[in-house]
Amino acid sequence: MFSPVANRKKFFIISSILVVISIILLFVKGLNFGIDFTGGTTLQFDLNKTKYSASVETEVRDIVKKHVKTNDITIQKTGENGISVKTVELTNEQSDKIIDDVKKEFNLKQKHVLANDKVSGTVSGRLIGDSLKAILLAIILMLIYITFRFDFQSGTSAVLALAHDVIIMLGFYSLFGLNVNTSFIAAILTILGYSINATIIVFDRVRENQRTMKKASYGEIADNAIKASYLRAINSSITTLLTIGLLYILGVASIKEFALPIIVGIVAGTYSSLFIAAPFWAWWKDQDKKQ
Amino acid sequence: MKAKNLISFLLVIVLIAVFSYVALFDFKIGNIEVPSTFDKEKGIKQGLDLVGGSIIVFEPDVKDLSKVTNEEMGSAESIIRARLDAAGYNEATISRQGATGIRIEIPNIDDPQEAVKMIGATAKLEFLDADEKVIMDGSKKYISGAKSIYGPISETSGNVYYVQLSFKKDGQAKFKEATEKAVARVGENKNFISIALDGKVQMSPTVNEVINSNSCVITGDYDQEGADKVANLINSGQLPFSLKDSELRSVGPTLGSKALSTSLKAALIGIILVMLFMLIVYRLPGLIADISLVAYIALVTLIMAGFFFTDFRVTLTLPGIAGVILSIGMAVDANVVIFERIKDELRSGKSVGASVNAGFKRALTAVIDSNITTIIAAVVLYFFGTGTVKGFAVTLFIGIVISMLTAVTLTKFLLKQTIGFGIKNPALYGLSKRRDA
Repeated sequence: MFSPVANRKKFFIISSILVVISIILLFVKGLNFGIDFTGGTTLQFDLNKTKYSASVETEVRDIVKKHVKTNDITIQKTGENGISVKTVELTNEQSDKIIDDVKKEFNLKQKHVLANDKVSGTVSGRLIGDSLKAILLAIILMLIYITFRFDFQSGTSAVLALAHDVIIMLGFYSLFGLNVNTSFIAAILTILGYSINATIIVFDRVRENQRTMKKASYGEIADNAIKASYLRAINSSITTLLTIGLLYILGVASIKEFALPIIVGIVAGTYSSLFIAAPFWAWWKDQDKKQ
Repeated sequence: MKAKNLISFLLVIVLIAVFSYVALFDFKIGNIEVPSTFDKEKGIKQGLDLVGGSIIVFEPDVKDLSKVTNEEMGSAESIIRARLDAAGYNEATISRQGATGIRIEIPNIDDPQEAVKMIGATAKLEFLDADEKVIMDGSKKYISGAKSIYGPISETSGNVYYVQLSFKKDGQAKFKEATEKAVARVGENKNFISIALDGKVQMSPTVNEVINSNSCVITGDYDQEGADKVANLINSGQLPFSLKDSELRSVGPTLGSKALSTSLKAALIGIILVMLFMLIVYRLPGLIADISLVAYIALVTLIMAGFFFTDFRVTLTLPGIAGVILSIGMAVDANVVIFERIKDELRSGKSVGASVNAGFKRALTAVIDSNITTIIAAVVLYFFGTGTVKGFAVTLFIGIVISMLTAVTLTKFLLKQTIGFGIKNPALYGLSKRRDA
């Protein structure tokens, strides 16, 4: 019988490599922060009959530069034939002029102006602060709850598995340059809930086994719990992936950007709940016993 | 027993069918009309990212936001309200965001920049006589403030809400002169003084007597809200700051409606696939879980549409849809956990009835603990998140609470009935003969 606890080194090494790669990505490539976090203006157009190309990009860039003195202009393709412009915070007059010029240049109507977002620097600063606070507070409260219902080692192992999932998710955001905006926070918190959820199902078995398998070692207890929970873990992630996967396949650009990292987080969360959390718990408990 | 079980089972199925019908379609019994949850006006409110429109957040244009008082924000809000009404944006909603933000949501707006200009302009409050000639403006030169008060107006009257308007010295003199003129014109029905914002008359209280005092009262059939509104309006003339838009988000209607239709399609196909999966993997309990899932979806949509609690209508946004879909995953997860437990019990040789009982009992701690931790995340998200993230938290929260009801209680009840009418072949409960014999 395959023992996750006996093979824990392999899992820890695989996960460590993924986590280290993610952290390196975060430092080297960084995150593609949207205007929710940095402040600025985003304009989004449907190009209608014009095909997206590098020359279209240059044209749009020139239009923006005509009205604003900045080099901070990011132009991206969105959806099937959309273009999005991200730049510094514009005054209403400036964005009016840019919209008018783009409309004239590509022969667009008002309905082709898909989105027009502006967030000032002061608001975005608060958003970062509030989001970090929310995530930290949620983790602390969950840690307290798990410590209270299970034990401290379980709580810490669960948070470790969670950190693993979130860091890999962040690495994914960085690797593919996905937009980090308010829905990013919702995605992170979704995985926060999902990952903890998955880990608790395993620890529930660990808790039960501690009562029923009095003579067993911590390793055996954890192995048994993992064996008893893996089918559930796989079936549950399949059902969740079915719905969120369809959202990714069928959804519009903003939904895709939201669904993709959640899919990554769910896969990471299922893996870490089985092969990181419980083996780590067993290792820690053994260390405590030795002392 | 069999007949009784069958009747209970069918009764619940009928009940679920009724709820689903109510959720899906408009219907009418006598005078009671229940709209479909998909009804754009009376069903689930759709966020601006789904229907298209603009969200504009205004903040005082000052360096130190902590010096802005709540009364000043109230005045700013009433200016915005009056201006939106004047410009014909009847569907606009206004709410506070944090201590110093005013969030305006306007659906179906073509030119948000125009609205920003109109709303953010400096307010001009004036007192006019019956010929609309300016008596004085509402600045600090003449007015020292207005407040709404609850109490007796005269010694003989009972307690009512009214507005007290206080004047500076110059204001008192101007007002005395104006009330004298007004009282003299009672014969022409022109004995009133109007209060105008941006040149548009907002209200015209009647003048009953000459007022030569540093304060006067304005009465009407006000409730607290009405009196506050009038006081805020008058105070807007003294607002020490102008408003600037700190946030603007506009989604064109084409993008919005496409987002909604594709998400609904994804949800529908996703749910059907999940149901098939449960049926194939868990067979009879899978079918029961599918029935519970139908009940779950009907209940969640009805709650979000405000069917049970009218005050509790949820605005559905894109992240909100994700929250619903995630909570569907979690509702099904509870059933997966329970059914795996039931299979364990069956393998250990227990009878079907005993296995179902033990399975539910043993899985319950796992389901409760995992759901409570998710609820913790949802609650934190609700209190610290803004805008769309809040929407996600609300739907996730409702979803988890209802899923405990349907995936645990309802599934258990229905399974007990099926055992009651004698369906006891373990193979029907997901035990594979080849593998588990």
